[in-house]
Amino acid sequence: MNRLSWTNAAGLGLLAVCFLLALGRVLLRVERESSDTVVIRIAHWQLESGLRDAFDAAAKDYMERNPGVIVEQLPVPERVFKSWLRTQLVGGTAPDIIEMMKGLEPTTISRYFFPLSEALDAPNPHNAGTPLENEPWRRTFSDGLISSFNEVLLDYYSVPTSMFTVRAFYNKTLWREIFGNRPPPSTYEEFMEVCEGVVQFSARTGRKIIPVSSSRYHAKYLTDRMFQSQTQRLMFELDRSRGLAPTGMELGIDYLTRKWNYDNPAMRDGFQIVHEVGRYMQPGFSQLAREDGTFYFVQGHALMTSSGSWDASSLRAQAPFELGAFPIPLPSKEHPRFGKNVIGVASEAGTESGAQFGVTRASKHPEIALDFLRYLTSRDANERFMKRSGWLPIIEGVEPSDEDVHVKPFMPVLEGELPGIAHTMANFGNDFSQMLQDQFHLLVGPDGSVDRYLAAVLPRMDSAVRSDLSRRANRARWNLWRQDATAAAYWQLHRLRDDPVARKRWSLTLEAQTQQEANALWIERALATPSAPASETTEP
Amino acid sequence: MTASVVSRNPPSFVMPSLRVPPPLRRLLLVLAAPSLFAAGTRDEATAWEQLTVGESAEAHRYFSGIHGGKRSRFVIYGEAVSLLDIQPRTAARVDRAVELLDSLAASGVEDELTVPVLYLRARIEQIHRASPDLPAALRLYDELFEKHPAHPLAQIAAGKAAMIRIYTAEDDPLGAPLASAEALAPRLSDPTARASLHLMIANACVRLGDQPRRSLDHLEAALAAGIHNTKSRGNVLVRIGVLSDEFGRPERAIAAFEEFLREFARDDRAHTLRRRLAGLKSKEVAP
Repeated sequence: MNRLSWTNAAGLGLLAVCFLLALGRVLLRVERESSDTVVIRIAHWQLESGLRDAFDAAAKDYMERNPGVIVEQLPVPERVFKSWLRTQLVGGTAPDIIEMMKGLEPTTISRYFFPLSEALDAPNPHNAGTPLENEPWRRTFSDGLISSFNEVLLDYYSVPTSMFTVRAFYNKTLWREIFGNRPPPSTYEEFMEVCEGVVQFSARTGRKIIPVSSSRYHAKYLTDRMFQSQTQRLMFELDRSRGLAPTGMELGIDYLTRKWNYDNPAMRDGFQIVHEVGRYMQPGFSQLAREDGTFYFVQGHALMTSSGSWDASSLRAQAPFELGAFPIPLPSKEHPRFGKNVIGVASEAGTESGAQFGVTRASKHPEIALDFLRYLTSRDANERFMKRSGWLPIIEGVEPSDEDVHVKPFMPVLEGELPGIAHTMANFGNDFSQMLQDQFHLLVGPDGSVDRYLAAVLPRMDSAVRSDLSRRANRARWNLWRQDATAAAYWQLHRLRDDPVARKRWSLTLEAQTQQEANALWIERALATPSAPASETTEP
Repeated sequence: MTASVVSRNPPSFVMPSLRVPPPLRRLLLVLAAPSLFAAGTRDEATAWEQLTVGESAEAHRYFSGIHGGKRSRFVIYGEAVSLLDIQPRTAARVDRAVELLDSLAASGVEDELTVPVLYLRARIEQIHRASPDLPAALRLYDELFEKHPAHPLAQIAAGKAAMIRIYTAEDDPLGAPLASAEALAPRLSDPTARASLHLMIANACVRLGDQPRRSLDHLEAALAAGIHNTKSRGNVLVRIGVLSDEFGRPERAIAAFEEFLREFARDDRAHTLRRRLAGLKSKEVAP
């Protein structure tokens, strides 16, 4: 046998061994699942420190209360989670409970996950003996489950286990060395003084320390809120429908029809803030990945960074220093340049919930999977989950105590003003965001300025906005097709069973369809009309 | 574990009693699963349920697989509906759906399917074809409402026609097209049709022109008719409150804000609205 044949034989042998190992694993799992024991598997991508322990502890508590049930968690890295999830769902091998990813198509959700409306209307039995005992499960979530409702499918397919806020993180050890007992900044002015203090400290001591470690991922968490402080008043001016929350679609169409201009004074002030703050981040940060920005901070090369509460436990575990956090500081009303645009500190009452889990149709024991989800989101379990993971609670009445020093700084600010319009126009669309990102270096780079940035962005605005609006109209059309079939089916189910639930869902479907259809027609009307030159903008 | 998870459990099947060890039995079952699932749709109701969750291929397999005397008008209609949702969408499938619906309409039978069939024909002309035929859709919607003015679907159809006329008007969409939509509203007895029409008009008033006062009247009418979507209802309450305040109706603004805050205390607009509410109330008690 020559060398090539040996190599081939070794390769084939290795393949056979792998196949046998995989087969053995499947058969062993099948053996266990076919016994009297019920195995519930829960998959997620939360690899942050503390999370796996918290899930394990919740599973252990549940298993003690339910002998014969085994709850296993499957942590899957975020980078591969989406493709892994699709493979599992299509292959019919999906775990019982899965963390829902943003961007899952409605068809995928409705096909592979159970709707939860009816379960949410009943009280959560694991809240027995608490003030939430008689409350429908839906009303026990502090966000009212607003962000769990699927607007296309008109149902709930997941429930959250936490909520997330954004904070500036800082190296407390280094802070004390530079600033002594000075408290963290509460305004933009103080924040800029701190940044300048770090620069001076670095120059004085020769130590290479920068004020803020950032990256493509981190920057937005610091600068978005600062930017939005400048557009709080503009938001009211552009709120034609008086809903106090102009949507991306409304802003985009109003831009094309020249009801406002991206180059207005409030937007310019917002960009000026981003430009000023960007000078205190490491050069080229907008090209760096998330890991690079985090690494720079935990290595002690920067005093501050910015991220969400989801990163707190990981940063704490990685950093060899004491970690602190404070709300993103905004310009005060007294600021000579930026104060005039500010109404007040922004509210975080509408903070989105996260780590949303749904029960898959592949589950062999959906009742038990659902029961575990109920347990995980019961008042007592959520409190224990908060303490073990360091994540924020999501259940009404669960509050961190004075001992929960890692959770308290992240609790949302409930009393506050509405945030202004983001420079991405409420995440208007991919082409628009990409175009802004491509030109971002002209704002924060070494020779960057607001004028250079806007000179590059403004000529590209119409094309990007039109492209994203067109994509929205196409997506709306797809939804309308689906809704026609869904509404017809509900109507027939109502006929067959005289079922009031089917009738209500028919109403919900047609109500939503009419609104989405009007949106699509409005977009098509706007796209069919040539835009006037930007100089002909009417207001504000 | 007493509570039921969901109303739409997947089709279940009984595991055959094979004299093989459990692991192998499960493995065999996994290998045989596709063919077992293929035969999973048991009745018409299950097929309609499958359509509500996007399992249109399975529903279509059921509806198109019934032949002979069992092929009722409802089964033919079900096949047409599933053809419009099945992937990939092709012109041939849409044409076949039209063929099936036209055959049902041509039979001259007046039953519970008469209106749904005509409605779906109009929908196909409006949005399902690669090139929509809006004049044809408008003609079909108008005919449907003229013949069956009391049927909820016909009333929805009338609202769709009004919407098309407003949003495709070349000149002055808030003139004659909007006036005719407003004239339609009192004729709609179905709450969903009425609420949807008023909401559509309310939005058009501020999107295609600047008529906030007119918009307010339609928001009130939509709320009175009943808005099912919780989030939409909350938004309408905020809009009614803000507009009522703007047009000097403080009592109404107070009531709308209070209702919103009772239901959406954690909304990020809550603080702003609480402040406005306090302002309105202090004005109310001032001499």
